[in-house]
Amino acid sequence: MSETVISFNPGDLIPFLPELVLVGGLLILLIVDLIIHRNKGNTIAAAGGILLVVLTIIALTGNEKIGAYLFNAVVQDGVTLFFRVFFAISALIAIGIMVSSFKKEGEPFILVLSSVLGMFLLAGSNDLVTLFVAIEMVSIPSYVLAGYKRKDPRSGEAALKYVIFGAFSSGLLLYGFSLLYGLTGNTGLPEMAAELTKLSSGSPAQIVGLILVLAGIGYKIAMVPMHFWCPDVYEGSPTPITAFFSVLPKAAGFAALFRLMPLFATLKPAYGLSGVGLITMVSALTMTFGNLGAIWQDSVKRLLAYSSIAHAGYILMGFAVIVSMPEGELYNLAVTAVLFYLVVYMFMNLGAFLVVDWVERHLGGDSIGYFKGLGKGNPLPALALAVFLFSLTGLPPLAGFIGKFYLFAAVVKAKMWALAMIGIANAVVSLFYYVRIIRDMYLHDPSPEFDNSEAPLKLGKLTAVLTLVTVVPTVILGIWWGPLAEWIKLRIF
Amino acid sequence: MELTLFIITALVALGSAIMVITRKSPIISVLFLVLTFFCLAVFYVMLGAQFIAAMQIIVYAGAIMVLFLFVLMLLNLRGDQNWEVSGPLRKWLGWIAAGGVLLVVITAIQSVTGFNTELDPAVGTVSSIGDALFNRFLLPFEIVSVMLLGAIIGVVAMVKRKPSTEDEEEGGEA
Amino acid sequence: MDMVIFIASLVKMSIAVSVVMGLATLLTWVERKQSAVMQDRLGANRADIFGIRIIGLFQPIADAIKMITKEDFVPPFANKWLHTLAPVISFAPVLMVFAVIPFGPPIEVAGHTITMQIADINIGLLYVFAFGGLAIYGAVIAGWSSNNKYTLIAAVRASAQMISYEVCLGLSLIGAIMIYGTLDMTTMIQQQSGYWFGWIPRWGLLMQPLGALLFLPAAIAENKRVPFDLPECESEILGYFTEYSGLRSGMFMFAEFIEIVFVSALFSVIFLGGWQVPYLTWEGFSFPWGGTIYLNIWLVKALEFGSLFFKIAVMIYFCILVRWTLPRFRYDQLMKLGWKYLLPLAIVNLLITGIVLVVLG
Repeated sequence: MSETVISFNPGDLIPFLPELVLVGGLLILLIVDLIIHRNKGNTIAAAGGILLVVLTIIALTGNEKIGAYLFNAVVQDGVTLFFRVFFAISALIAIGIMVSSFKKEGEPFILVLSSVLGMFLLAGSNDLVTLFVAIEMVSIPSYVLAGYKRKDPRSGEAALKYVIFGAFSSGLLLYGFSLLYGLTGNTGLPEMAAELTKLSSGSPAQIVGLILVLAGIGYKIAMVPMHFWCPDVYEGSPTPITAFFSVLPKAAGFAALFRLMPLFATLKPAYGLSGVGLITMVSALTMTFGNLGAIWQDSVKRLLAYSSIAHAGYILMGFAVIVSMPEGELYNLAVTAVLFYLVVYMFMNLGAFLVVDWVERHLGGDSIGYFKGLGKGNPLPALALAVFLFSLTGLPPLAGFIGKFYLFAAVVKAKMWALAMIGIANAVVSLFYYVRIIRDMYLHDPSPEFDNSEAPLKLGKLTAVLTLVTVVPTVILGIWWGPLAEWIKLRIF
Repeated sequence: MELTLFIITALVALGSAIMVITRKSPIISVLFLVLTFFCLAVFYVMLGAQFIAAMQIIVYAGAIMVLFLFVLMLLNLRGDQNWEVSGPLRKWLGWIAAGGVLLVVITAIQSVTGFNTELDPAVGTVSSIGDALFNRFLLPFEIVSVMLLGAIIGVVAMVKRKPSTEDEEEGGEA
Repeated sequence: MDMVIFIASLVKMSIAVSVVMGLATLLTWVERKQSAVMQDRLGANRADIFGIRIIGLFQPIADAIKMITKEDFVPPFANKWLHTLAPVISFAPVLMVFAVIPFGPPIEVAGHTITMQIADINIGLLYVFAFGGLAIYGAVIAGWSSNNKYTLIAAVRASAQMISYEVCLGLSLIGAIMIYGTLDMTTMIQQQSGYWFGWIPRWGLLMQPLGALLFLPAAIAENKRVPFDLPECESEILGYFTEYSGLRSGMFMFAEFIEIVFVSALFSVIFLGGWQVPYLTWEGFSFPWGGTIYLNIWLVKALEFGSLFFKIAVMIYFCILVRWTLPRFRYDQLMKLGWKYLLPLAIVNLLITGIVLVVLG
């Protein structure tokens, strides 16, 4: 019998506490779901919500000075803590949105929580293997959640497209990883970055590897040209699940991109291509395609899907700056901008989908015709949606404006004029399709063929609370963004 | 001798891979895919990774492909149904794009120098893989078990019959 | 390559294949005679050559001649290639798994120590799992390529059953792997060579009783023998080789018999101590009460070869006994047994083995 020594130090697990609590809570929720028979959905959702609140508290009090631990597979730095808090809060709101639609089953909430576990792990991954396992862990429950409305063929189509596209992109990602591993001989991300910088410029294997990795991760953030699944999947999935998709896996993809940034930064200019150039081009394309695609949409869910593609493009602008300057004050500004925009995006998008889900549940559909005249009979949801849509465009004094301002500031400071111009042009274009909905809500009468009623629709307590929870930060962060920006700067740097 | 074996296996692998995508009957495609996996297992053995070769056959060719066959047999597709919906332009573009990608990847791999051509026989053994799995990659290893649990729950949640009143008649699961 | 090792490999291969095929042929006769004895009748004793019947030992030859001379028939509209390929896919893996089973103790010849395994690889038992898994394809392709709805259903049944019991098979063996600390079968046998309290041999059966108990049903189910032969029962519901006749169906039957030999060999190697004879060392018998019998080294080795065959024969006898005693399981009983009883028990076995190993060091 050969002696292998397992050198695992249990003290190493203390920084891992949020994930451990999440796993334990997940298992307990599973067993609870098996035991109780009535009110399954509400109980599991409530328990899940409590779990997430506990996790937020644990994550907020984490120590960001701990570097890599657990055999260098995971790292805990400021970015990890930020993303943990981000994922916990957004999952909390997403579960709140899901409660009204999944009253009788506990499994969707458990699947959301297991996806969130993958996201926690992704935020802290320091190793290619951990990164890949975490990405798969985020994706696999989402595939199931996309197809959850079993009777609706569009839901099945959404799930199938998501799965096939996701599997294909995982293949691309793995191929890129294998090329990069072959070049560097190591799977730890910092070691790989160090090895890659030693390579002479223009190593084709490095370029191909990084492009493939970008393609694989780009699928998750719905970046052009890997965005084709996004409108169909968002439209076909149940609307609360779409709310979940538009924020959480996307932010998870950005977290993965964060972790992989050092690798992209090692790409020196060669064959007319560099890391910065690559991401700039992709960002410009994503913004443009997202905005242009949204103009012709009649279904609000699809419109919001294209708008989320466009927002991914805006965030990628920030990443272009991050790649160009591995450290320094510009880097700090860009990272702050990206993370701030993610928070703002979370509130805006979750809120928008919350209202769309409410309209869909009460009126039956999500095309723009259903929103006509909403402002007359139902002031709170209509006003909330107006706030969210204005914020998504980027109009002052709402949070979206501040987020875009930070991003454009970083881009301009890095002297990437073309990118800034494209970004501003896109923001102007996006005004058109967002304002069209608001105009329909307030300036048109309810159309008879969509069975709108002038009488106020029922607004449940939870929905009202969630609406306030998402509207208030959107407004406040537009006026008083200082504390959030300072908190981010404090945690990360 | 090893070169001969490599060339033969590579030709078989390429041939069966091309057959996978060009056959009309899905079950024949699956069987050729199993053959491709066998060739991959042979490559792994030639590289000294015996454990991975065994895992490739046990997991991929022995379990996943059987599942594929299972589902395909239940679907009972006739091989002569016409699935082609794309015109010749798309197909030509597809082949050209694939050829382009192949060229790029070959250029990338050929540019790398300094390959380590010595095989350390201790690397592919079960004990060295166990060592790596329980020391360096302990965290991914344990997390994968939670991921599998999530996947199982998801699948069962999707296909179970809902006993609730919102679905009236269950006319067979999709 | 070294000539001695090369020639030794060739010799090992030919001996293994011929012995295994010969055993399987004999097994057909053993089965008929033993079932006859158990059912208080005479069995097949009519086959004769020039009037000499040796209690029916010519029956396998008669069966073989019958099968070879039957019409070779492919059903119309069936996939001819796959129809021909299925028996081959069913037959090849069960022969190939014999490559890792040691038939006896290592022999020193011309300065080399030759292990009695054809392939002395590091991943011995995993090789068994790999090729055991491939046997599923034979059943599946046979059922599908026959262009027959019922054989298709039978093929699906067969594959479901084989996959379920493959899981239990693997899990039940992991306890044994944990105790021996190796996947290589020769080392496993050598690990079983000590004694507890000085006189109880440390065979796998005594160290992993639950594992052995779980291995047997799983292996018999994997083999699709009664009581698990639902996929292939011919007269009640169609099996997956209904559309096969002559030599093709003969290959399926033969593959099944070879697999019985293989399952018995595997059980003997892992749980019954392989070629170990209790109290037999290289010099001869040394009993715990102090007596010794000195024997020639070649006699010792012959005894050890013989002991493995004896154990295989005992296990084959056991399999046939089980076949003619128990009625066939219904499909839901079969699945329930595999997933709800054997699988949790196998996991419990793992747990207990792990705890015992950690506690006892």
